[in-house]
Amino acid sequence: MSFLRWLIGVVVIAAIAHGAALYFGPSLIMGRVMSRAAAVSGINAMAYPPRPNAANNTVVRSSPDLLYNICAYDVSDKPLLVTAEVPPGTYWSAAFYDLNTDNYRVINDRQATTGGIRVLVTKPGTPAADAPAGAETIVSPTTRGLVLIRTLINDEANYAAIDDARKKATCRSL
Amino acid sequence: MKFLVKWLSALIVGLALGFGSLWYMVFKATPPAIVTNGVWHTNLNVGSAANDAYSRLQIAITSILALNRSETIYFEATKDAEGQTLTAACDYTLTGPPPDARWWSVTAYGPNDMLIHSTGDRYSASAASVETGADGSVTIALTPDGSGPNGIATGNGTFVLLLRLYQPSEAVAAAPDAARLLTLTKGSCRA
Repeated sequence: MSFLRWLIGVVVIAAIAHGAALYFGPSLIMGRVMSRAAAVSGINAMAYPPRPNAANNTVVRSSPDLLYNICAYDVSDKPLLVTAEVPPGTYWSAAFYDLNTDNYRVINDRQATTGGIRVLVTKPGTPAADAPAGAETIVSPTTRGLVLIRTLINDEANYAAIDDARKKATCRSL
Repeated sequence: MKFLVKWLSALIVGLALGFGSLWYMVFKATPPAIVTNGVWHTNLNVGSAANDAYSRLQIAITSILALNRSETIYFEATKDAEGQTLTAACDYTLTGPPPDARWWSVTAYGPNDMLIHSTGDRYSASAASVETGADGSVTIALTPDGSGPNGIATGNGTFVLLLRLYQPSEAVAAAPDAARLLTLTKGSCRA
């Protein structure tokens, strides 16, 4: 009987550990990535990390062929306005991730038909009518998340121009 | 004292079982949305809210911030055609026609899923960087120092390959298991 109680205890502890790590793991990992980004630029501000290489690589499986902009956001109090220009002639995308790591929206250079984006990220349940003129509203599934802008270095000769263009992207609380 | 030892042992065994079984499900079990194409495999639910919890955790650990399938398909290779783990102790070659996508790249990552140090930053080969043969085909050498045609450095341990297809063609997006991808061939190995 004593062994049975011990065994039940083991199973209960195993189930709790398994389930808790499974449920909370992605958001904990995302929180760590967001903290790293916020350490550079602050929360609700755009960071412009250098081109990934073996010496500065901090995010798993970064592409060395892309330049990344990162904005860790928290829209619990105020919405977030993201603006960016699309560099001409190369692949570009703005990807929106929730705290659970899901990529809930992507806008690429072919979809940004005005040559850029002006996006208002709001917390769940916020009406779209709050968006400023000319801005598209995207409702984040979670109050915290991350915006990642990718710009392809399609020609090393154009690196400086591509780097300049991607640094025009901003994000800020309204 | 006996009571404490008993429940401390239950805690240790329980945690080991819980985390061990989770590790197995995340890294060893085959997720439901996995598609295989030669040595390559991909999870079609990457980045999607439809992904299962184990795959979501696996992706958070190994490739967080991946794009969803509507934008990019990521094919991963961890083993050669014989099922042997990719290692810098052997040379490999990727050959074939360029993948059918707006843009593609192949990148090698070390066991920690980080870029592999190399002289000359030979991390990847892509549609923008490779020199193609007269017939338009691509040959990419995978060697420890990245020497060879369109070479990628594989370092000094095990490694994984990630083939990114940005905005793949409709045919590839519809049937990634039938897409023509680069073929991996194992070359000579060192002791």
